[in-house]
Amino acid sequence: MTSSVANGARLHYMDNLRALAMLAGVLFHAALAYSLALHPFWPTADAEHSAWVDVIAWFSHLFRMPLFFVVAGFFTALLVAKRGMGGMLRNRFARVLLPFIIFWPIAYITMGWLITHAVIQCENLSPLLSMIKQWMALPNPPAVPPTLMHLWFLPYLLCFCVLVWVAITLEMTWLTLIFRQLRIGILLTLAPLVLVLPLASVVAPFRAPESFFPQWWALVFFGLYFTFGFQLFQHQEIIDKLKPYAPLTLLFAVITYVIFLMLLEMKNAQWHMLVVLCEAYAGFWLTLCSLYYGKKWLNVRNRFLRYIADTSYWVYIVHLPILFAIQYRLLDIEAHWQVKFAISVTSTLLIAFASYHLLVRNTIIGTLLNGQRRKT
Amino acid sequence: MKYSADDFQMIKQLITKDWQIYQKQLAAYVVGLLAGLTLVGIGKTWSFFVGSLLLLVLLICVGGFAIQSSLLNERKEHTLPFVMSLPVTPMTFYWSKMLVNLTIYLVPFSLVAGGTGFLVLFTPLPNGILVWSLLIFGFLATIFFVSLCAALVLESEGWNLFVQIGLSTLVGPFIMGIGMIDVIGKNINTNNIVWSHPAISIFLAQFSVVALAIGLTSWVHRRKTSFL
Repeated sequence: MTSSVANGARLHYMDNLRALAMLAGVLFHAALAYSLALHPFWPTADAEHSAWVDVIAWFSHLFRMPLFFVVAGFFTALLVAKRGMGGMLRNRFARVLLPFIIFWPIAYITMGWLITHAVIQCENLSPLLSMIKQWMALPNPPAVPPTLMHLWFLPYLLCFCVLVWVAITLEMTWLTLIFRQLRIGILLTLAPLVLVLPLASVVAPFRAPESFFPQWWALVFFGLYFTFGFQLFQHQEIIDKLKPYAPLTLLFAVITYVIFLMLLEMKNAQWHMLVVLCEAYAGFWLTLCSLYYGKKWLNVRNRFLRYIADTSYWVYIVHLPILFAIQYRLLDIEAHWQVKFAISVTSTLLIAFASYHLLVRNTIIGTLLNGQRRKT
Repeated sequence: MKYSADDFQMIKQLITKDWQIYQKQLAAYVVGLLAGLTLVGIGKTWSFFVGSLLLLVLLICVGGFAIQSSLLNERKEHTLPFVMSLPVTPMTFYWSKMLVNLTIYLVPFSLVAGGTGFLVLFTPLPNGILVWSLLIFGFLATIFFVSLCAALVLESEGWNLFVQIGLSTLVGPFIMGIGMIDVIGKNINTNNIVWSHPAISIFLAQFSVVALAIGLTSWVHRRKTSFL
């Protein structure tokens, strides 16, 4: 299996899972405008919001990016097997570093302009925009450090790829040995414990590590998922071994998530470790279930899914400025949050997909993001 | 002196050879650099100082070890007779050593110097610290270049160690010294980035020393017709 994959056979479910994880990010960011928990902190926070948005949004948040990093680790191992270490690094620099260098400044400037525009134009400002308006009125407004924004995952991904080179150069074979010894029971019951330490140092649910300086918790937390994905490439049978446990794991994950939400609602600092424990277990179990059900249901060669997989990287890169532009407009419109959510998601996806089809797919940008397209 | 395609190919091969020998150490430095940057990113005063110190020490070590393993160890292990049996001129050998050391040093150097500049400009740290820190980075680069050039020219291991250790001990006095220059020291705790005459003069002096060291080393090697 591994050798056939390394020789060019596609793993459709991994492609599709990556695409879904990226597109789920669009829904997640759109939902945050109507979240109760993030109302004071999110730029497009709308007067219309609901606690139900948090229930659904944070559920996807617990495993969306972990799943992305598992898939990224898997594909990194595939690249090493297929093209060697130099080939993998060259590929990652071209597909990850270069898009980041090109698109981050554009996204950053656009977001800055959108915020300034919204502060001036909108009547019903979100709490964060109101604060920014007050700052802007100061004679010497404080300088806000630039952040990685929604593209934070690109530098982390690059960092993990460099660390793969470090681990192989320093012959850290014990990582592979540990994984080889791992039994499915231990994976399901004890492995999530290693995620507790990084999660315990940050607020729950964990936020995106948007700072330009590497955050240790994010390096460890997402790095563990990346390592899991990297090792999974050599031991793909693990996904099949999940078969008897998958339904129960999913059930336990949902129950743990409900407990997690209830504990969060209590807002008691003494319960923090328990909150983190639930967060680690629910997130890990949901990631495993995504892998299992992804392989079961999404392992199909399908032109539509292939197109979505090709599109997802571009859609994710451009979605936030488009989404914010739309949601700033919606701040002054009276409508139910569900209507606003539907409008913002549909419009964002339409614009992002159309721009991909017209400006990216058959141009140099498409080659930059997805490489040379193969005919299916 | 004109270089042929074969010379460039040979320089490339020599660089690859040094890279392969050095990559384990470099991998360890990458971990150290990441740890340093992560400590700085925690945002606490203690972590900032520990992280900065770690980065500073690593920068000095990266340069020192690169020179040690690519030049001094080769000499100690008598690799030169083997190099002489290759179709390599002294100048090709010189350029390969110069380029591999520059690559090994300048990548982490740019990362740390750029990270410091970013940190100063975009965090509540006073912006005035920028000129002071850039002068320190300039000094670190200068002692690296001088040590590298000394290792390329001086055959004696003792003299090379003297140059490396001697220059490294000057880092502390240099930091203190520039802090005592009024127009630099007084602006450290303010938000004013002042490119004063003394600061520009020190930068120019650092640049001149680097240029002179490279120029002299190149001149010495260009005059060589054989390795001995």
